[in-house]
Amino acid sequence: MLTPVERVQILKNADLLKDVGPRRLLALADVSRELEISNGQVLYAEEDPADVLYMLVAGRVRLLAGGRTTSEVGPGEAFGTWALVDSSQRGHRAECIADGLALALHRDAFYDVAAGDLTLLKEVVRVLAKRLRALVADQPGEARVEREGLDAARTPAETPSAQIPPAGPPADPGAALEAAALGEKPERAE
Amino acid sequence: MSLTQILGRRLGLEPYEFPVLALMGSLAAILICAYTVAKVLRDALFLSQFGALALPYAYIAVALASVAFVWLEGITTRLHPRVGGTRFNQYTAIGLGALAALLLPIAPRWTIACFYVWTGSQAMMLLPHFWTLALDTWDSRRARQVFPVLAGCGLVGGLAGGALSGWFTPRVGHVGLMWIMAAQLVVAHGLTRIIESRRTQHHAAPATDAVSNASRWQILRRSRYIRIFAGSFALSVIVATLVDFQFKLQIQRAHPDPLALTVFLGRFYIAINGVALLFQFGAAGWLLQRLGLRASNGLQPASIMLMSAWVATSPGTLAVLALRSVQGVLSQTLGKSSIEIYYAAMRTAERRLIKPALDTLVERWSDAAVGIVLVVFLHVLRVPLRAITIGTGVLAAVWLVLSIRLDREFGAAFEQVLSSRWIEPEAALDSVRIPTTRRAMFEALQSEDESQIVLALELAANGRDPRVARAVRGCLRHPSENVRIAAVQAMTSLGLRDREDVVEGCVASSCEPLSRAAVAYLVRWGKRPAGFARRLLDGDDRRLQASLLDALFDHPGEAAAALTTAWIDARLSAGDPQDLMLAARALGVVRGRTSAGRLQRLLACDDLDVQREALRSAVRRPSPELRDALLGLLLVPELSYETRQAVAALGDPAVPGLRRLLDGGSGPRAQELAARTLARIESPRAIAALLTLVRGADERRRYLGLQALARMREHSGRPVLGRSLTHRVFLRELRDCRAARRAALALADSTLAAVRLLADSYREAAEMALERALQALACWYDPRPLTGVLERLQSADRNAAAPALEYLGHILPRNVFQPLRAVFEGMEALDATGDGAAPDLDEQLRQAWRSNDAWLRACALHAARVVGTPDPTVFMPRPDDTSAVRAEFAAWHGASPAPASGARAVEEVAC
Repeated sequence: MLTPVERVQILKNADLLKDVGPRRLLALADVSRELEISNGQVLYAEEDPADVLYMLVAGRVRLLAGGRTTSEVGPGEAFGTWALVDSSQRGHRAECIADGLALALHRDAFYDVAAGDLTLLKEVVRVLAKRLRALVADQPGEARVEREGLDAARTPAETPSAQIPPAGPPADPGAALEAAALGEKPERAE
Repeated sequence: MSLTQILGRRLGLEPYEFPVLALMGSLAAILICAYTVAKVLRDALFLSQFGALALPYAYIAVALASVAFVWLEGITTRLHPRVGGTRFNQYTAIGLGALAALLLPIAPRWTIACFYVWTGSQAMMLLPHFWTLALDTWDSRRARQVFPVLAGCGLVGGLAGGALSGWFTPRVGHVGLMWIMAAQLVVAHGLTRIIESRRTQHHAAPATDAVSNASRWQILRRSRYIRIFAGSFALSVIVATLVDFQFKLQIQRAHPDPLALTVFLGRFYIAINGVALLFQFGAAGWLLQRLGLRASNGLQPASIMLMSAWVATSPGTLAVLALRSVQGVLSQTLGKSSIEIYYAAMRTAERRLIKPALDTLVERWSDAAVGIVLVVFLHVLRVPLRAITIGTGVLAAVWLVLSIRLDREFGAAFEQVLSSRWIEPEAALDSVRIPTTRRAMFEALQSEDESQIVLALELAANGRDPRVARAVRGCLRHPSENVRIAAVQAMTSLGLRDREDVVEGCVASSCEPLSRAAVAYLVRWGKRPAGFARRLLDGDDRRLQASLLDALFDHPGEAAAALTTAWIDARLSAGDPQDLMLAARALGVVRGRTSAGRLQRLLACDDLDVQREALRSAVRRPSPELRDALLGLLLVPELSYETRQAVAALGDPAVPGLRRLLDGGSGPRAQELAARTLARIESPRAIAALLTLVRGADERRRYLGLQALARMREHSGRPVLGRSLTHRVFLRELRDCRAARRAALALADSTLAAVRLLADSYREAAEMALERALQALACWYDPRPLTGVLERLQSADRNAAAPALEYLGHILPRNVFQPLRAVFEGMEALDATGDGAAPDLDEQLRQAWRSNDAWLRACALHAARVVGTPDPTVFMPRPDDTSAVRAEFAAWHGASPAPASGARAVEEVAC
């Protein structure tokens, strides 16, 4: 079992929360839960509602869209970040490919904490605004067409664990934002 | 630490800024060198050709030429934006400088006259453009350190210019000197191009800042600060010109030969620039930092005042020479730097537009004004020279007063910027009273768009206009219920009479909001409000009774007389929740002490809605008898807000009870609620209770206390603590901030994620301490700009933090501001690393462990576990430690399922 300090350390790795102060993250650490994952386990399917942010402590998770692998997530990386602010369908599937441990933060729990901490909420909104600005700046034309623009802004992860190149554009808007959540640099699809 | 690093820390520069500073310094030196050469040539040639008594006419000609050149520059920059004001001036100066060198042997008299006019007008405009470039590069805080360096480089240039003029004139002659000057201008142009290209790599100015749509005149007219600045600047020029005139009159008499005069002037400028250079690098920067802008800027007029008195009492070459030297040294050093820093309070776009024009026109027109005055006084009225000296002293006194005023406005300008996020509701309401807004409102009321009409009706409630009033009445018959509701509410707010009794018809409406609005109107503005109220109370429509009681609660008026104790008791004995709610609401309307007992009964009721209504009434009819019942409800989350208001309404009698909650026995939430409630009471006893929190060692309690006091200050609009106590509390919190920042800096570069987390936690502690420090300031100072100050100081952007420091530097006494400056202007970074020795990590962890901050202790324990400290026995938990510390301790000592191996795994993940 992880200690509160270790949980804070893990949560601080999430791009969305990296600028939030550790004391504020402690409240989120208290409401997050540990999840043991095993090879072959599907964490969520494409049509599942987005409601949980995952932080991988150990193991490996593959993200797939339309049956094709878009990226792989390793220890210290977050996925499903957008779930904290968007409850629509996931649009991609997360499948465990190596046993490990993940920290799961449910959206409702997040909002329970954020309701009492305006600074936390402000920080999250600031990061989201920054990401959207980056998307709009990189793809102004697409960004005007809400969903299509987001579809096109999806890329492979630049993190060491994401070695698999993208195989065609995915069908969901969340993928682009998911890519951004993983710290990926959006680029124009061919 | 290398010299570059030390300089970087001292001057507050980033590494990439050093080449820019070197280039800017060179540019300043070359420009001032060229300008000094031009000045020496101009004065020597003019004085020998026309004499000193012709100077007043030259001042007037220069002023007229300045207007022409400023106009020409404006036209050129508008027609050819790519060229810009700086390039246009540099091209023109190079061309005209070379032309003068060509024409001097051919037509000396005309060339000398034109040369004088050119050097005083167009050539002078090169310098404001240089300072505009510098102001675009560095903010006002760093300008205090960088500008004296630039001004020093300028002085070196001035020395070189004096040397060139003094020793080269006998060898190359006046024409040769003119060619040298033109060549220097070419080099200056090349340097400017390089600086601009380097600056844009790191300092792309935001597009919105690039241009201002307002004309120079509009900018000047709408800004009081710029007007006062211009006035103060004009006086400084007038005084300087008068001093210079007296000086030139004396030296012309002393040196009638033109060549000797040129040599004397060259040597004089060398001497004055040499002294200024020594002063600049020796004392100017230090004086600016230590004395502040006001004192530094005031030193010049004050010294001229005193020296003018000396010249007036004992006239002679020595006294005049001393006066001119002191004025010259101070104006080139402190005067120049502080004037340029005062420009920093203007918006960038406006500054770019107005500075060259202001510098040139104010200077030249002030010269012209002096010229006219001198012509009248010396040639027409034939006043003695001593009168001019006395006049100079008087003007210096006026300048001193104006510079004090300017400094006050300088602080206000930053205050305005920092308060810009603070929205005053009165400002929004005022805008509704503007004729254009009223016209727009009237048009909206005539439109067919329902939402537009409703919005217009809501706004109409804030301003009176006969046409709008008629339109509001017209809306009472609108088919939309939403419009009718908004119309009745607007009529209530405006107090409009309902001559056709349309509102009365709305009372029976099935639409509850409309019926409620109609009841509220009739209670307040109806023809017989008491009768109307009695009719509703005697009826059996509870919905209307509830609306009536709501209306009476807000505006008791004469209708309140209809409500009797008997009616309330009847509701109480009915016992139904609806009846109890009506009774609770009614108790807030009736006067007298009879309500306290009844309210006490209702507060003890199980129904939350009834309790809430009773609390609302308790706010209206506060009674010490209710104190215990109210304090008991304070911790009920659903009633917390209403209870706080009801307890606050009790005032001082509630303080002892709240004080008990502050002690912490009822938990942290009770402490927080008690502190917030005390903030609403706003009495000396409440302040004293909160001060016990502020004076304690617990940071969370201090935060609660300061937050509550700051809120109290904000609500009451007057200081809640004494000034010196405010400063003491501020400095205490600042010490914590500084210590936490130092620790964060020392640990930030660690390769271990656990240690970096501790560094982050220290950084967060520093931010929290800063917030407490500014809350402490808000107990005495205006809280509005302090909100902006906190945001800017917390940002990592030095340019953003500059106005905040500028403002605090302006309002705080020097001994209070200096520690803050040390924290935010890079000095503590130097202290933190000391002589460059690596900090002892084990000691840092022990320090964190010894702190009273529970989270820091948990992080220290975790880091110690990961690092593998040599003496784990040091890290023994206290009985009052939090669960985070206990969990960490348990994990370390194997009592948890994830012992040391878990920490290593997380460490790898975090790394």
